[in-house]
Formats: sequence, structure tokens, C-alpha cells
Amino acid sequence: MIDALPLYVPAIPFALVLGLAIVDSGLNPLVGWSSSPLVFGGAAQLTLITLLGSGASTLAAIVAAMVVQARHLMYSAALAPVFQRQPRWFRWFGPYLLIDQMFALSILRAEDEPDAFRSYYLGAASLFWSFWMITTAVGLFIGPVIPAEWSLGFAVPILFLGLLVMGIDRWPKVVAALVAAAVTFVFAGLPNRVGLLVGALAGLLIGVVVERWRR
Amino acid sequence: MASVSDFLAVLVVGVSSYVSRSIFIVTLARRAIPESARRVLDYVAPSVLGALVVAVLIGPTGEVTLGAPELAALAAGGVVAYLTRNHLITLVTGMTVFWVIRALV
Repeated sequence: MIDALPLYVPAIPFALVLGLAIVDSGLNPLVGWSSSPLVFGGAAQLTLITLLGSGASTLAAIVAAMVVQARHLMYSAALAPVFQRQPRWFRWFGPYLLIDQMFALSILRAEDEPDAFRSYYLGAASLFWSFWMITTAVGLFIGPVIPAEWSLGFAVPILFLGLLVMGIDRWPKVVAALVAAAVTFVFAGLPNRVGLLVGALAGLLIGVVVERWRR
Repeated sequence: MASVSDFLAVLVVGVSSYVSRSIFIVTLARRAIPESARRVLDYVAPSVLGALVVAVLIGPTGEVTLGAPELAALAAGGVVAYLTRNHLITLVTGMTVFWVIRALV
């Protein structure tokens, strides 16, 4: 369980920026923070909060955040055989805590005894969960104190770019990301931030086409 | 009333988040994701994140704030993220480049 701690360190700036973004967005801080226990996923929370705060339609913000979470389908499928050996209550409760870090740790312990796996999973996940609740709340209190001239809001696109770059393992993904960014730029004037969805869809299509053509 | 609709949005994303994490574990344990769907899913993250980097720079009137400080910071952040795979170093480098270039131009 202690071996999970280093994995939390990269999440600290993320949690603080999320707290600042909640303050920046003008949303009710408590409503913004409620995404920590309810969604419990930094990228989706940041997407939802920044879009809701920047005048996107509620629907566009929801769709974008849902798409960001789609990678969890792969985690769920990959871990399904491991969870088959677990009691029913844990099969229902465990997935609530299935963030990126928990997936990385769980896959390494897939061969553990079911009881050992479960206590490890619950131990590491409750550690992540408590830290996330606390650090995102700390960001709420730091937010109003930081001078606006520092433009710390610019940390949000940098974080998204970091997530993007670290997930790239082959060049068609670079093409997909560049097309998505360019199309979003062109359609930036569309109302309700719909340009984001148009751009993401364009990137997705090009990525899949390039991948197929490459084979 | 805006708070109510914001909270509902959080709730909807929370539920869909849980569903995407639990669906195979709770209900479809013996089914796998078909290869073709897996290939599409693989491109969701880079596409959405690429679009998001630009989307969060769009101002209230639809103009994109993308001048020299932003471009330099994103370029530096991208290179550092690729080399270090570390969010903290990426964030510090990106913000520093942003502040320095902004002070210069």
C-alpha cells in the first residue's frame, strides 16, 4: 500500500490546479468540489469544470467529460477476469475507485490471492481517495489568494498537453491530436464550445483512418 | 439556479464515469471489447485532449488566445512532458516559459 504513495505525487499539482480551476470557473465552489467524490477522475473533472465555467452548453461539457472517461472501458474489460474471483459487494464498489493509478497497480497484482488483492486494492485506493479529496479542497482555498496576473489558469492547457503527450505511443496518435487541435481552432467561434466536439471527432476519424492505412 | 444545473452535470458525469469503470466488471465479465472498437477507443484520448488544449484557450467571444507566450509555453511543455513523463516538471517549465515570454514581448 505504501508503494502506491509515489504514484500520488504527480497528482498533487493536478489536484491543486483543479481546485484553482473551480475557483476561476465561477461555479459554486462546493458544487465544483463535489466532482471529486462524485466523478473521482482528474481529467474528466477538469474538463467538466473548465467548460461549464467558460460558457459551454451544459450538454457539450457533459459529453466532453464523458468522452475523456471512455478509456476506463478498457480498464474495466482488462480487470474483469480478476474481479470475477471477488465477492459481489466488491465487484460493485471496487470500480468506483478504478482511477488510472489503481489500474496500473492492479494489473501488476492480478495473480494475487483474492483476499490479498482486495485488501491491497482497498488500502491503496482509500489512500488516493483521501488525498484527492483533501488536495482538491486545498486548491479551493489557495485559489482566491493567488494574484490574477499570474494567469495560473494557463496551467490547465499545459496539464491537458502533458496528459496527451504522455499517452502517445505511436505517430498516428500525433496526427489525431494535431487534427483535433486544428479543427477546434477553426471552429472556435461556434456557440457553446461545440467546436471542441467537432475537433475531437475529426481527430478520432483521421486517427482511425491513418491507423488502418498504415497496416 | 445555475448551481442546480451545474450539480446535475457533475452527477451525470459521475454516474457515466462509474458505468464506464464498472460495466465489464459487474455485468459483462465474460465479454471482451471487439478489436475494431478497441482501435477506435485508442484514439479517443489523443483526439479529445488535442481538442481540449485549444478549447480551454477560447475566450468568451470565440477568439483563441494563442500568442507567442502561449505557443512557446505549449511547445516547451510538450517537449518536457515527452522527455520526463512528469506532470510537475512539465507544469513548472510551461508556466515559467509563459511568464518569461510574456514579460519580454
